[in-house]
Amino acid sequence: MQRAGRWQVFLPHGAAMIGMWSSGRAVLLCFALAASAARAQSAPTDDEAVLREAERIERAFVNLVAKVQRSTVSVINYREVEDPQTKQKVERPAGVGSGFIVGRDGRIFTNVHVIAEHSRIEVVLHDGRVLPATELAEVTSYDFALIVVKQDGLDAAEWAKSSRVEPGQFVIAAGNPRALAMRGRPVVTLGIISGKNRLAPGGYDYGNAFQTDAEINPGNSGGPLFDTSGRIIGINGKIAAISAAATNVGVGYSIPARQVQNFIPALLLGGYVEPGFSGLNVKEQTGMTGVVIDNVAPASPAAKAGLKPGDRIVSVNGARIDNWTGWKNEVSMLPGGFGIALGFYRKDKMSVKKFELEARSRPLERR
Amino acid sequence: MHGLRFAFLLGLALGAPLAPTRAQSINLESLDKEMSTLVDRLSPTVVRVGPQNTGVIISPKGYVITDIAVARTLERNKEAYVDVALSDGKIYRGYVMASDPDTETVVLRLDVKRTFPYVRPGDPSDLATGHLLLTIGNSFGTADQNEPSVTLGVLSAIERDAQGNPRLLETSAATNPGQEGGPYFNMNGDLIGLERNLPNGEDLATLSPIDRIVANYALAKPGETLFDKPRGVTSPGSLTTVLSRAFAIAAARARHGVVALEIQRESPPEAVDGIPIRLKPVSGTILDASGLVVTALAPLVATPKAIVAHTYDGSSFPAKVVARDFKAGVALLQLEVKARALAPLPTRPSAELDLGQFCVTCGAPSLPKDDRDGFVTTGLLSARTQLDGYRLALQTDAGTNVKNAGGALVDLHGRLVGVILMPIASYGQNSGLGFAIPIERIEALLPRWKKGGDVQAAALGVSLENAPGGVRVAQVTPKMPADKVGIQVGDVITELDGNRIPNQPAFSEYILLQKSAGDPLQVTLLRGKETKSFALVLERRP
Repeated sequence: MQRAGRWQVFLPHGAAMIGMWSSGRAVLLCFALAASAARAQSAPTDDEAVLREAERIERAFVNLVAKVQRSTVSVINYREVEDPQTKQKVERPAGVGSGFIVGRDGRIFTNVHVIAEHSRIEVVLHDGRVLPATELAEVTSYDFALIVVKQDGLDAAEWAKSSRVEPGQFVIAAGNPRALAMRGRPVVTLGIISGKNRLAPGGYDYGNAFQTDAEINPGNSGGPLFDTSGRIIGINGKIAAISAAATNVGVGYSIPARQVQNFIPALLLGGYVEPGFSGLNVKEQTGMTGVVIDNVAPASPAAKAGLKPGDRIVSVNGARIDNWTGWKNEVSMLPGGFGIALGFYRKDKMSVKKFELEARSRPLERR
Repeated sequence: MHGLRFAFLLGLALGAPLAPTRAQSINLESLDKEMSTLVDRLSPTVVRVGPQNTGVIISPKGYVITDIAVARTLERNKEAYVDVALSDGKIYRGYVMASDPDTETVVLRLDVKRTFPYVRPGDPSDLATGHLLLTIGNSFGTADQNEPSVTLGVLSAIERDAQGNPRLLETSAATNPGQEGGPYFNMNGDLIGLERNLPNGEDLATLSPIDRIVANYALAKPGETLFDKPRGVTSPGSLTTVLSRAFAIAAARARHGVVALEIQRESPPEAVDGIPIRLKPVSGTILDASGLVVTALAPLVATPKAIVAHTYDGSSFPAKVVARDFKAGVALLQLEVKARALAPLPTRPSAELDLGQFCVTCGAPSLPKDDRDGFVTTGLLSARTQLDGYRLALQTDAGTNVKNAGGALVDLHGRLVGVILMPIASYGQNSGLGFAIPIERIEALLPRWKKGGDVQAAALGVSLENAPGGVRVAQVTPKMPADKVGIQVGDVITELDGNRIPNQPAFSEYILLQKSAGDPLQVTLLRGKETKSFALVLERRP
């Protein structure tokens, strides 16, 4: 059977331019428990009973959708281009993406590739309000950026604990696929977590990413992935595709919320924020678990800690490292200033070295 | 005292009574828990076979079933065994025990004495379109990263053999390279079938049904028990089972309201020696008992020679095109039925649906005529949108494609809320961006359609810019309606048919949404300080 090649597609590119509560308030908790116990024992017997029960699930999703839409935004990237006729520089919408509000004072996350090379950014709120936005900071390597709008009283999303995400759990993706979010009202799609700890490298490195079958299409980039409590578990931004046409095949990748949260203190200082710098270059060695140090940058944190080429790293902060994928996944979570404890073998001797990753950033270019 | 205050505070938080018609919602955490528990339970039974196939353990003795391609590769390479990797990282040698070309499967025996986690075959009597299916596999080589992919979908279609037994299943669960030979499970955690073909164009992934597989191996290996016995539904009250059953109920109701349209054509590529080649049938949705059917426009843009409509109960009727609406993207057909022979679905105004409510699509069967189970996908109401800037549409993440376009979009009760539109070509089929024309819109357009003929988008023949009090004419296209009646550049249009037109969007919406080519229009405008009025007939957009 012929195997199709694997493509990774960033989203977007220019292509996307385009009850019973009122009766017993104080006993609510007991009531809820009793109901779930009853459910486990008695299954609905006829079609109408099944549908009634299913409608309770449906109602929960409706409530969830209403909640998650409020913090989801559309992001429009304007770029200066030369008008072919007048040869004048003109500003045109170059692409659309998505984002989500994390601060009531107007802080918004999106993907770096959504706002890349912008001359101006516009944000459309769920209620249709259009606001100018400015970029504060970005982690270019990992494809997430912090932008801000001057508006108080926004509906901010809450972060979930990514570490508690399990394959099979339901998720909602919200955003602006193919610019279909009419007047800013986000489009929602339902799926499950297909996998975690995915490494989707290339262009931008997605480490420890979630994989989902919630439908993700061009324009969903930068948009939130919510769990069923309506909390943020990731930022959608990449899909795997069979062809370059960016047709959704049910494999979307989401940057884990925990990674983003780790970088927030660095992002709040502004600028281009780099991943935590160790000075290590590693490679995989066939037949060996872990990764082997290829070289160590002079005077780097790893060099100062005494790590040497040839050392075989088998754990990072207590997590076992099997291969390069595992290494990339673990280090992608760590910004500058974070401590790292490396378990490694030098010849046959196992030891652990701890050191602090160096923070590196530079100011944003002013346009 | 304390107790009282407590009750009062709770009252503030929870006192708002819910509307009585709204179902009380459940805690979705329980649903998540059920799914992740199911995944945890099933994952150890799923294996990676060789470099790029997925398989599943079907016996505690270590029998694995997977794609027959594995056996063929071994034969070609003159190899005795293939490496089978378990989810715990252990790798065993798998030897071919038996293979079945009919279901394109092979059973391997793992060469180690231990007890394996395994799955049972699903109960063949518990198989219906709309049921939820879960698949676990090495999509895109994800097993390199130690964890397979888990995707959820529904049983979309059942193709049956002459005896009425399932021969092939189709599913909307995302299936990608690396999942060849992989297992599909129902919400009971039992095996429903094995991957046979990856999705291709409008076709979703297909699988060989487990009961056919079991029957074939029983014949091939008499006396040897490869598979365990099916069991009944173990947790009928679980949320996942309830959801699965609900989708199947909706689908079973909806399929009575759709027809398979066989379109016969005259043009050469579609006929050989004068015999029309039956192309795959398309879907239509019954509007009323007298035989009015709505379908997607695209297959009818080229005039067909004949159309035959097949209903779920097996009746067939000749059909004729009554009207084609190029604006709405649908066509109206009249089936030649005896008085009130058809039973349309009950309808529900789509405006009643909240975003996030479940949607079930039901199209005509993609597979041969003798299979009438219908083609089903499920999703939720993703958005309300305006296609091309003016066509109001319901948007759903349920898969839509050329097969179910023209079919019914229904709620959980099987009530018709819209008719599925052809997917937008550049988005791809089954992309999760599907659209339907709302039932209200169909009802509003029906009187016009019944008059017959084509409905085309209208044009006045002007280009406009916003101006105080209206829209200013910036250009007039020669020989178009505006030009013919003498509308000039600089005129400020203030009213259309007596309706105030404050800006360009209002103008476009009125012309595109409310009007069609051939309709009369009264244009009121300001020329200098003078108010003028023109009566004209709109023409087709060039």
